[in-house]
Amino acid sequence: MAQAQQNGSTSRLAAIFGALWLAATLVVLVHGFRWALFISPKDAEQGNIGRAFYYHVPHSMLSLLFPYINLIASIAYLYLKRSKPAQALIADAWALASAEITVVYATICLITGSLWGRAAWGIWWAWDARMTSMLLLWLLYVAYLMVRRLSSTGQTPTVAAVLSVFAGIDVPIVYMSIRWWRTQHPSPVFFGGSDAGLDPSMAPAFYWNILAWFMWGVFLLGTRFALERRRQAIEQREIQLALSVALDDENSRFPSRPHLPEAGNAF
Amino acid sequence: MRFDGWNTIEGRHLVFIYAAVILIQGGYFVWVAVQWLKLRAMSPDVETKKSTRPV
Repeated sequence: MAQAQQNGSTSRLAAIFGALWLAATLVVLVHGFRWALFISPKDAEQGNIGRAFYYHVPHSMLSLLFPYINLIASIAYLYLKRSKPAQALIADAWALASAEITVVYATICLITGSLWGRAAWGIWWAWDARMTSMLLLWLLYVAYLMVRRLSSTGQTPTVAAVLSVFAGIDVPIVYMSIRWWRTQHPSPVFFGGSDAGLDPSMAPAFYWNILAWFMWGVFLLGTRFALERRRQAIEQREIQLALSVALDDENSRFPSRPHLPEAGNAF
Repeated sequence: MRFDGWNTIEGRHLVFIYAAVILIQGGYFVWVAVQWLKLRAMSPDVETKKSTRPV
């Protein structure tokens, strides 16, 4: 009873914190939008299509950050699944949530990049090192989510965790691709040597937007994690109910045999 | 900002880019919210709250 009350107050606190975080995120998103479209000057070479930078680049950068949460959570799951199954389930929920956020951000990166490329270069796509490695990352995480959704064996989280380790290897390749191979994609703006850098007039719009989309990503991650934990709790309860019914049935059919123990709570 | 206009590829694609971001992020948020409401209906917490409500 005390545990239930504690859980209730913790989830209430989490809900209040989540609502405050969402409110702050929306304010920063609107501010970033205003900077990107109305305050920041037009790009000298590209004109207004240069404003795509403020949404494309933050999403691209963040789509290389969330896979690390997925990688760490997946390794934690593989490490804990036998010794501490309850903690492994928490790691698995983080892994699933971060994989979905990665797909969302990487999808936006690919779509906005393609739209920008068509307007700036005249082509929708090029089999350039950065674009191809990013597409591969997206495909790996889509495969990860499909494995999780379509496979129904008990080993699904383990298979997905191993897949996530492979996907994690692609992340540094995506990051380094425009440094190792100079092809269609522009050279890096950040940490790209003496020629790299952001014009001071573009900096506020960029920093507001990367902060905004980071906060939004964290909000989605937390919400998706909480959703997955709830689903796990329901699934656990259903398994317990099914086990109890089966055990009661077994004990009533063979009353002379020593009774089987009740189903325990592994959650 | 002076909008380039729908008739130029730059103006059109800028609108598409911002629309794509809002639609994909918003669509995912709505999906999560719908799943949340669906699960809430069958959550153990709901039962606990009902059963502990004073008569």
